[in-house]
Amino acid sequence: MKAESSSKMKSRTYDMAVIGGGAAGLAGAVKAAELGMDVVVLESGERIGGIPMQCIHPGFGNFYYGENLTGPEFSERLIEKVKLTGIKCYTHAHVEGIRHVSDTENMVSVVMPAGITQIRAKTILYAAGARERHAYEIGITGDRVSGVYTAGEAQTLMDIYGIMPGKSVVIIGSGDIGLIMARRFALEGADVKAVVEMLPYPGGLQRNVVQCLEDFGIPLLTSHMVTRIVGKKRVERVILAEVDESFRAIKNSEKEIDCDTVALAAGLVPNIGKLREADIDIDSSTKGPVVNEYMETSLPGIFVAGNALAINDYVDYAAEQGEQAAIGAHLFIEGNMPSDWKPIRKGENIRLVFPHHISGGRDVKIYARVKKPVRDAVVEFPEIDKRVRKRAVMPGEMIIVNLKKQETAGIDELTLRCADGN
Amino acid sequence: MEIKKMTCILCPLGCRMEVSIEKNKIIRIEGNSCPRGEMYARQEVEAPSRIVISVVKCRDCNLPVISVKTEKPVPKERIREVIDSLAEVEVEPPVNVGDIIVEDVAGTGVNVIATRSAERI
Ligand SMILES: Cc1cc2nc3c(=O)[nH]c(=O)nc-3n(C[C@H](O)[C@H](O)[C@H](O)COP(=O)(O)OP(=O)(O)OC[C@H]3O[C@@H](n4cnc5c(N)ncnc54)[C@H](O)[C@@H]3O)c2cc1C
Ligand code: SF4
Repeated sequence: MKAESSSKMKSRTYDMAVIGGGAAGLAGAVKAAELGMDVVVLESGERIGGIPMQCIHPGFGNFYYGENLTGPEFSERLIEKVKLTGIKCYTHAHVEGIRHVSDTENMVSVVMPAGITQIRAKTILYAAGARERHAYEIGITGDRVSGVYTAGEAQTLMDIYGIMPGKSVVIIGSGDIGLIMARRFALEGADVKAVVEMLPYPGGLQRNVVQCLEDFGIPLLTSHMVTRIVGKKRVERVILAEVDESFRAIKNSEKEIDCDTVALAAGLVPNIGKLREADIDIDSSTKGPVVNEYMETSLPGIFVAGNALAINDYVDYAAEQGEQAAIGAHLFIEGNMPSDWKPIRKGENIRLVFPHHISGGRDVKIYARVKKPVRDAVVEFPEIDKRVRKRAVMPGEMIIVNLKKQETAGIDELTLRCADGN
Repeated sequence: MEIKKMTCILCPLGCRMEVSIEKNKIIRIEGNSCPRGEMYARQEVEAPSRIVISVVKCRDCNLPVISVKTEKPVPKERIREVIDSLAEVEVEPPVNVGDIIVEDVAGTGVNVIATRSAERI
């Protein structure tokens, strides 16, 4: 895409600058354009579309489009909309800083092929996605050898560049990403030796345990931890141990698995570096910003959506959050953002919940995760007698509670809890 | 009599089921907590099938490979053949999402279609 001259960009004030052209950013940009806002999308990568572009399996769009699409199909639909609405998108445009000058003015500094450019915007939608956790963050030591990839790196090699990272693979982490990568390697003929999980149960959806591991006879080692990666130039084997309830290695439980590749799927963390510098409130459980129902952070006019807000199970949620942020940005510019916010608190067995504040003036969707699995669960807001029964809740699967406007009218605060229904 | 163990994937409960099979016929399904589990078990025993995904080479494209999928699920035991037959395929740009890349792949009666578009460089 062509770069506008930097002086022209400087003098212009956009209604909304979208940082990150993934699912959340593009859905938000389209919504904002539909609301008549002047939007610019800043994407650091070679192309817009975000992470789904490299997730070639189905499982995207079931809620957002009511169809089961692959990742690239999902993103290409959004990109089509972006083109139709004529939204300005800059690729190779890496945002390196955000300055909240006043409540109606933000300066975004962008590194682009044309040089460093300052973009002025009334509102910001920060949708920079997540980063993958690295080996050192999960206590793996050992030789510095080639053949160790994060799941995302392995996926980029295979599904964007068509290069097989290795022949025999150990996968660390049994979240959906780890499970999906195990199948992807197996499909292309690699020998997937094991998926190693520290928790006593798999982190990902049951569907993925069955269709990604059981279908291919891939062993899942729960309550196990890779402690060391061994090799001279290339990975030769990993050393693993069984762990107790407090994740300490059990003595004499060590074993070895020969492999030439290790794929790390050790979880994602919201990528909020640029926001941290802007000094916003962070939730220590989501590791993302504290937001109201319009996904607005503690800095007025700065919104966040998608995996930069909290790690979402489904791309659909990221896209919805982007749209909510756009609606919020529109209200903000018109001076109609509510000012009275009621907190949503974490009760029994709730690990995280967002948005953190609601107005009580409209229908809202609440996203949450439990700490522990529960069968026959009751998810409830006791203050308003709102109860949802679920056959089972798992930490790996987000809980969604839709609150109606009339249910939340007149409340001071709400507490979400999840208990055994028996 | 043969007993097949499986996990229902239709909800997070993940019921573990045991399906008793005699002369290729299901005679008993146990372990499911609701009727949907039984439906799933029948499908998995009688005609297990999956959507297959892969990438194929793309000559003179802005990308070295494009992603593809089978338009419909194919029988589980044919997955390997489908993947193997895709290894030889090379497409040329332009490619649009939904374009048929291979018709009737490996004799399954199912088409393989593009899930991402590509342009000529
Ligand atoms: C392996 C894998 C499998 C998945 N499977 C599924 C699935 O089956 N179904 C499903 O619904 N979801 C799935 N997901 C989740 C889904 O991909 C995410 O929920 C979704 O992509 C999040 O959207 P996002 O816009 O927040 O982030 P992303 O899509 O990651 O987009 C963020 C964008 O921001 C850009 N960016 C980052 N920093 C900057 C910066 N400083 N300046 C400019 N741009 C920047 C990035 O380049 C990127 O394009 C999967 C994810 C992975 C990794
Ligand atoms: S049998 Fe019913 S309750 Fe059990 S996992 Fe399947 S859908 Fe859920």
